[in-house]
Amino acid sequence: MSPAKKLRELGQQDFDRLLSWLDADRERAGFLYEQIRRRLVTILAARGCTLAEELADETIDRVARRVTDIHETYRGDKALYFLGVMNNVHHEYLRRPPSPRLIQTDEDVEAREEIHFCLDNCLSQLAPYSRQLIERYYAENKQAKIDLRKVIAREMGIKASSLRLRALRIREKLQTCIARCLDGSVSEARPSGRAT
Amino acid sequence: MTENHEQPISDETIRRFLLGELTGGDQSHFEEQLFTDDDLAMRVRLAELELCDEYASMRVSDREQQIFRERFLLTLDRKQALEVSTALGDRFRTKTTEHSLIQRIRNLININQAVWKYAFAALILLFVLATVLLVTKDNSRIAHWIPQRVPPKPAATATPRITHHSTNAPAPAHDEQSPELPLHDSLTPSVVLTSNNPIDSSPVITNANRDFVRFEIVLDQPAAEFYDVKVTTLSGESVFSVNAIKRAEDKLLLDVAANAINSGDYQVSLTRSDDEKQSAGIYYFRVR
Repeated sequence: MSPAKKLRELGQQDFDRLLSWLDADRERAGFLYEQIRRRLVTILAARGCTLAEELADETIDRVARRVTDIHETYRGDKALYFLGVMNNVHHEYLRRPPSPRLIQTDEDVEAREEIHFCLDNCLSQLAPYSRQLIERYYAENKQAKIDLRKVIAREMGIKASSLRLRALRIREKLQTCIARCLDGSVSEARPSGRAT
Repeated sequence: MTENHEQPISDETIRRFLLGELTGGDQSHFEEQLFTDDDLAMRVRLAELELCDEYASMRVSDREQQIFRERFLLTLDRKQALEVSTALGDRFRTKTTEHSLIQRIRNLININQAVWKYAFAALILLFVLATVLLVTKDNSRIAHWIPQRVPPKPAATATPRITHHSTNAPAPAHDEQSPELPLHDSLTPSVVLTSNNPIDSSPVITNANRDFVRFEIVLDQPAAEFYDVKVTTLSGESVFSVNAIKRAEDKLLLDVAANAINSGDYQVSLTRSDDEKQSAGIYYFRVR
């Protein structure tokens, strides 16, 4: 078993301690955990890291193991502590020999069908107004799409930038819903792919 | 992770960050802000999704497409986001394109459009004009179209058969009445007078129930065009006279009021109306 793999085998006790450190409210702590993980992944990806999710999990594991030592002494934004640990993890990653990147060549028809199924499912959960907006926002192509969005904004009496934000927020909800649908979990706080 | 009151980061910077195009100092600064600014984190998330949407609908430049594949599409979450963007595009772009195609066809044949109204009106007018032209110019062709009346085929008469009805039954009363004959509409009988016919063998006229009597005076020698006619009794009493009657071929036609001639024998003296006043013949008739 590799050291990294060993590190990722975070015990339930360590994980509970991490959540307690983030916030006394368990639900709020779960939300913060999600936020931190997403931001770690985003930054690592922006740095061109091909193992962004893996390194983000490794970062969280390390922080969780250190919580016992720091929870009394650490002062400041807890999220930034994760950023510091992530930098170390990323430096270690950069020193590793580059691993061959797997490229998915053939299209997974089954996965696509699953996404379409989940999309339908999640669209049906949207409010009629949101669904209608998404339907129109993603309609048409190229210039026609741009023109249509101008028309929608005019009809709604808002600026194009406001329309974009509204549509993208609905899109974000849809993305979250689809991710959960694909995972088969409805409202788990913890992300999939992590050993507990 | 709270609100940050530093100078807001532009959408363009967020896009460059996501595509890994920020330089060292800017990158570190951005990362720190991302961890402390919830609003920025949300904007970055939305920009991620928007980038996937744009890539899926091929609204990014060739250069950005390559960067997107090599430096953006590195996480499972982003790959999934791209798949959702593609699915959304497939679903709604197709639907709308089909819809718009149907709509376009529907609009094209929309009878309420003025252009169609004019077209139909012109078509009807053209049809009427063509029909008129066809009828006036070529009657023979139209005759083929008009169904000819076929005379009814003679129906075969049933052969009389002996029936088993009672033979001594009385014949039904024949109620049908013969239509009244039309009144003879004053067909004036003509009286033909020939010359040199003695009084005993002259025509006899019954002038009852008539308005007038028509005489046809046959000329012996129709030499003149006009003749004078004088009607007298045999005793020489003048009844009436008419001058310059035009000859009709070889006779003169003369209508005389029936009440002007009573029962008796009469003489008609004929003379030519020209200068010679030559006698053209004596005629007789009787009225009873």
